[in-house]
Amino acid sequence: MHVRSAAAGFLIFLLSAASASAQASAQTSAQAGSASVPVSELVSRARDYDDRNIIVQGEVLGDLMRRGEFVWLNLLDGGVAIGVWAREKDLPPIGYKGGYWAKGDFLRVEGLFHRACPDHGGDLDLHASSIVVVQKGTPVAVKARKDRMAVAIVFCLAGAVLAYLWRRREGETSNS
Amino acid sequence: MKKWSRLGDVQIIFHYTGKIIVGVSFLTLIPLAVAVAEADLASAVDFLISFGVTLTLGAGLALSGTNGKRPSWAHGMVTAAFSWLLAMAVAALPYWLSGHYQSYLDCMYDVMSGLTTTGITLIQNLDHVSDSVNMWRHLLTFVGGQGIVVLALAIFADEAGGGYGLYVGEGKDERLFPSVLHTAKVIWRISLLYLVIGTIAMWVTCMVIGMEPGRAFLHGLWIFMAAWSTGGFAPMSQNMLYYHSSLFELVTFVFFIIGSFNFALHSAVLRGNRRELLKNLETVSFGTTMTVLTFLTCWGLAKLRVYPGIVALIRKGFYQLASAHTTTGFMTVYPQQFKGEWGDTALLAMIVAMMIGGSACSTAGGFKGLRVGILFKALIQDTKRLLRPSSAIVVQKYHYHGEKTLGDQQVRSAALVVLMYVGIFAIGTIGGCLSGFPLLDSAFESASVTGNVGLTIGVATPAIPAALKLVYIFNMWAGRLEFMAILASAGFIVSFARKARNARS
Repeated sequence: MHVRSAAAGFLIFLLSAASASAQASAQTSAQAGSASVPVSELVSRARDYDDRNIIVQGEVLGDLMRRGEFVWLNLLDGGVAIGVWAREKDLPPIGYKGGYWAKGDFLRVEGLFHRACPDHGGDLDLHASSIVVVQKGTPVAVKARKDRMAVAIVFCLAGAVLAYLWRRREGETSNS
Repeated sequence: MKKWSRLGDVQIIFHYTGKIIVGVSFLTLIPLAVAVAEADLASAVDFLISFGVTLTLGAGLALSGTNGKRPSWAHGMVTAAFSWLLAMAVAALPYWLSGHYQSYLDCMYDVMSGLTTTGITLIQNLDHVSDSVNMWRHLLTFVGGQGIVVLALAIFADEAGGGYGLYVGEGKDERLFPSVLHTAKVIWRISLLYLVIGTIAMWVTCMVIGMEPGRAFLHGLWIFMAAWSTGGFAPMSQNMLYYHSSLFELVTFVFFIIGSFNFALHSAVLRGNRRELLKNLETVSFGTTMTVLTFLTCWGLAKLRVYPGIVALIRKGFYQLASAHTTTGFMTVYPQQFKGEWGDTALLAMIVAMMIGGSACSTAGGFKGLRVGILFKALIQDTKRLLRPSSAIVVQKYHYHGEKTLGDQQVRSAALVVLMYVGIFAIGTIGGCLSGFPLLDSAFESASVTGNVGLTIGVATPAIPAALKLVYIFNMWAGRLEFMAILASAGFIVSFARKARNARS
């Protein structure tokens, strides 16, 4: 009885593990349905990608600029950023926008790439058809260093003493 | 001619340089206040270190040189040149402490770029820089536009004999008023008046285009500072392209055009003399070259079908050209697009625009529209001389804050400055070629640094050789100070070295 239930349990475990693995695999292949293009390549080989549907991935930067039903966001990938024009309703909830205090959400954007967009005054941009948050952003902890505080105090004191001596000597020189 | 011979000369130069450096130390209190307001203790400590180090150095120099002697014109010239170099060295400290630079040389490059209102940056990961560091970047460019010496003159109110030397040494050669101090104060009053108006206008614009009020204010303030100073720095790595707005571009365009005008012209217009704006040789020269070069740029772009329609063509072509001609350096295209898409005609027009630059005695760089106007008038005068009898006296008039007669000395001075600009432009171009960049790319980048512009075709990156960075720093410095102070400093060093050698022998 114990052997049978143990075997059944093991079988259920194997099946559920296989099912979970298949689900994860399906999700990954859906995400990587077509490979993303680095933004630096898009910018340097813009004519090759002009008016093509492409995928880019990157960190969403500081501002979501709403313009009517649409929104502009900028995506940073490998040190180069690109503007993404999207319908506001297509935009998933953004937790963090990248900046000094946070690493922004990492987005995967699919859309039509324009080397010189006719709708936006010739801007190089991407008109998004789908946006997915691949990875949530995180806050960045910034801490002051104690050794630097000590250096700051020493130099401020030294500067104050020298400034006092200079002003005093200048006063004496102008009086004499 | 001034003979440099005594330790007293060094003391006077140290004393006044020290005062200017003390002025720079107080500037660090502004980003320090931003860091404190945002509870960013790490950045606050960095700026406190910078304040302490800069104050120590400045007060130390001022103390060591206090001898009660009055500076001469030549002392002022050398002090202006020396103080800019020293300011570059100390103002780089907050950049270095921020950890966003590859080397201290890169930090100094960025400070010189800011102070000279050039705007090409070697910063890394700009999109994640603290607000206080961004405040420092834009403050340097704002102060540099009016002049750090002008600021020191306005603050310390020291009507010394060398005041005019200091003032001219910083690349400004017009007194709006008989007193240099009064002139310095008026320059700062005009700039602060525009700072208030401009910041409000940019703040509202930023909110209209969808930014949150807090960020809109900071971005508005910084972009105004960069526009008015024809600086070209921006808080985001995409520069003006980050904002994706024609309205935003229009407002920045208005401010950088105004910023490129002569302070004397601002003063005249603010006092009600609006006709000066239309008759002034400098504005006429600027308008003419701007029209011709815009046509050339757009023609070059249209020929290559770079943009899909006339609106995009004008918006991209005109904005970049105006940014180049006013030596601002705001960009709405990527450097790779200049290189790969714009073509030779448009790039050559941009190079010429960057070399000419804005107005004399303004925040703009380049060899200035006034000199182009003077040389053009001289050309007309000489042509008339050729066509008329040799006994005829040909008088050439021009309008520049009143009717003036063109003299040979003015033509000679203008030609010399233009020649020196072309000389250092050639040095920068050769430096780029020697570093492995194509001729046109090297010429574009060299024109940008020499004319204190800030547009980049992608040459100036942290990866370029240190020697090329030093050449670019020299070009920015020499271009901003317009050579007189640098020539005076070279004379000072040679004379001092000769004296030391004679003393030994």
